[in-house]
Amino acid sequence: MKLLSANRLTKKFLGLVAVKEVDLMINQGEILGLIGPNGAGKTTLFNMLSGYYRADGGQVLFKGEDITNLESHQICKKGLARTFQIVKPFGKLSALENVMVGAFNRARNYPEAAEIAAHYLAFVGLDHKKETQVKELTIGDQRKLEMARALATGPQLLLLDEVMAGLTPTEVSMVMDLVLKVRENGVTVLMIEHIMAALMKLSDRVLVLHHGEKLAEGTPAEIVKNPKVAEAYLGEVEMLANYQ
Amino acid sequence: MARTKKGGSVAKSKAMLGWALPVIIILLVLPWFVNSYLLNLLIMVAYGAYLSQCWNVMSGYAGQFSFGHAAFFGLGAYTSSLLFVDAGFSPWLGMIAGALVAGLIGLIIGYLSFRYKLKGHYFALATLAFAEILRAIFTNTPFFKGAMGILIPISSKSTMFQFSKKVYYFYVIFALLVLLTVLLRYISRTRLGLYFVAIRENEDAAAALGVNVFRYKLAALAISASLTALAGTFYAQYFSYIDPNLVFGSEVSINAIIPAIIGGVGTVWGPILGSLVLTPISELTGTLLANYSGMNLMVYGFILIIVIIFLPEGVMGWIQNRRTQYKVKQDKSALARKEGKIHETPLS
Amino acid sequence: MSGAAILQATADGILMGGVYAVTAIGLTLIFGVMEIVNFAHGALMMLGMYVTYWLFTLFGINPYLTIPVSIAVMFIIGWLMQRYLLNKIINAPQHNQLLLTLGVMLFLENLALFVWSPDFRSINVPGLDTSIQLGVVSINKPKLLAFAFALILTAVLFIILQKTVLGKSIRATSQERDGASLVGIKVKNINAIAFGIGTACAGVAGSLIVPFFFTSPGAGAVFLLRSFVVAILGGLGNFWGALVAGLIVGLAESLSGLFLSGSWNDLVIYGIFVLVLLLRPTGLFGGGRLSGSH
Repeated sequence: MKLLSANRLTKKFLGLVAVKEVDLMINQGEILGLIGPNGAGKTTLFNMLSGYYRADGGQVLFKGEDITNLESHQICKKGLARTFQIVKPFGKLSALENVMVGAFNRARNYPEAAEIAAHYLAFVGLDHKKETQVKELTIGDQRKLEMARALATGPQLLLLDEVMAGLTPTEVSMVMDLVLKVRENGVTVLMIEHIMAALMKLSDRVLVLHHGEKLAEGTPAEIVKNPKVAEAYLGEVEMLANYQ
Repeated sequence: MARTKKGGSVAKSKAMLGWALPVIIILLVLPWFVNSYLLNLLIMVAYGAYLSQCWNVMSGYAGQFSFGHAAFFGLGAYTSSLLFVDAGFSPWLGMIAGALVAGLIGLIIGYLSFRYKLKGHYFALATLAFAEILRAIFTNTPFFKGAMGILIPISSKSTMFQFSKKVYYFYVIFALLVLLTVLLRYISRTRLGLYFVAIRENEDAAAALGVNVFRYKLAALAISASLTALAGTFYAQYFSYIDPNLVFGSEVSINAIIPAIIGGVGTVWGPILGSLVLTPISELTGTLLANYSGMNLMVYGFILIIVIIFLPEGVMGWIQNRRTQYKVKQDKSALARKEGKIHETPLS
Repeated sequence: MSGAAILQATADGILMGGVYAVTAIGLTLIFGVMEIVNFAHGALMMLGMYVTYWLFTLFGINPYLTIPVSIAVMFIIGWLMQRYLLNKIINAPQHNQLLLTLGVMLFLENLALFVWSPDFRSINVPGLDTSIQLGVVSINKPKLLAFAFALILTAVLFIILQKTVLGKSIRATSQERDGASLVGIKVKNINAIAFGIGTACAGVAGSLIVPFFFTSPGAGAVFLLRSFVVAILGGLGNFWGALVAGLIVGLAESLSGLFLSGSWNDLVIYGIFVLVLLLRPTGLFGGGRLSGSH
């Protein structure tokens, strides 16, 4: 079943086209990977889907409803949550309070929000850091916290923007498990990731952006064999091959 | 797990109550036994703390740095005074009317500023400009009595917010301060308070988590503006005279900012602590060096410079940071002991 | 409304606009380099006024010949202020820097009150108290000189920033602080120099104002808000913008003063301010990053 679809989505900055007429479709329960060289427009696409940028053209349908250019808090209310490439923690709040901000998206009162928040902190494995001021956390823990925060809003679709960037190999595999666990819990995932091995292993399908346009789409195996993708990535193609 | 945290904070607030109650009782009795000079000092401390606490709601908690709180203060002072002088309404009612007017103007200012996404310096300058606009309007409009200002007729009737004894003015401003502080402590444990801080810490992240940033910023501004207006009415009744420069001038805005900065921005006790430190110093230098006007402001400036450089998060921030550092150290040494690597830390 | 009155108001407005531009240029430079909104700017200007006032009163030195002294004294004060105060909190939140300059303002203004008393002082320079008559319009000589200096100052600052090694370092620092420190420019040092130059501009402004304005501890504050309006309107960091914005504000003030009684023209100025902040916070001509050139 189709959960989200974007049709001919376009974004320009000062006349330069950052994302050009991209079509995108995500099925319920899927993990869709989004890759592309730096500057391909991945984060711009995310920002349009989540209401941070106004699209200059095209349409976004979520659960059959037009959510194009709604405000980000409205989009969150509809069940679409995101994390940020550069983490944006509420530094002066504790880990629990950080997640509670997300939990209040659906909780009716303070104790309920605390309960939901505690649940998702445990879910990402941070329950022992509840009272810690977030600015004291390591980057790995901050990324997990961002996931917990986004999950606490109760989304059906979660957009993950390079949640593995800057993590140690151990942490990467932990986050990979986490992503799978998120899907098991019925949340659909769209993720941008530079760590190819992780992305290829997790994704059901992969979409490749290049110069703001869709270059290819398919299963990880198909993408790896696609000569256009290899060309776009040049050096990185070995990484792809190595994984397979 | 959530319950233990909540239990903890209830215990903490009970301890706080046990500590605050005697202080409140002492402060209720004390004013009867001090001379007029000290009584005035007590009133000014409470007044300074209240004004700064109002600013703290919007600029400390919700992070929208205002340099124009004089706008709301002046609206409160003028609304109640005009209603009193021209229409005979009790300033008690006028105070509420003033809060409504200031809240409404606050909403308009906020709507314009936040709609056009003013932030940081630009927002601060815009609030300053709005206060100056109000000053210009009140200075030049005969209906508002122009630059001459308003002299409040003395009646000593408590129903008219006037008292034969100064001590009752203390009770009024002290009650306002206590109520606001309790309210703020309460808010800081609700969705509203959490959202305020989230917006201050990172607007984008808050919006991504479903927080209607625009609406909550407006709420912070409106609440802060209404509360500030109450201080304006109190000022008018206590000093019996207002004019546009006195109540819309930037000195009022500065007085609203500095105690919170000294004591600790975005903390419940910061403005109170700040006023406790600053007001006596300012009043003392004012009396001791009465021949040199402005000495108190010079001291203000000096303290402000020192605090910004050495205690950038104010006294409360400094205390809290010390506490966390201590805790982290303790945690580390506990961990070290657990792992069998005991070193004799010269901590305790 | 007679044509002569309008002409006179236009001339006054243009001249006063030049004065406002002079007061705003230092402010805009400091913001352009360090993104600091300097509330102490007016107080620093006031110090410059006293430098000129005392040199004239005690030694009879022509006010315009005191400008180099004013520049030197104020440069040092500004350099010290950045080096020993503002550089200490270079990574603190924006509003802390604003508050620090506010502290300096309170301190200096009230120190001046203590040392020099609140008296309004004026000087009488032979040959400067007359006006030049141009048909129906009379031109105030000191204001005309201030206007000329506004043009010179803008041009000099522009040349310093665009053509000298120092200027390149300052621009590099303003554009990419981290990058600049990587290529070996000592950011803190450059900041101190830039702040010194900005303060020296305040000093020049102060000196130029003395012949036609009252010297008093609060004199700088009178110009501070106007300077903010001009700096924002011109685009923070944009010198030529400040010059044009100064003229706009000067004209708006004097022309609205012609039609409105009392101090309603304040309302016009702050109305413009609010509108610019809301609709074009980067100013009429853009700016923010020491664009300077256009």
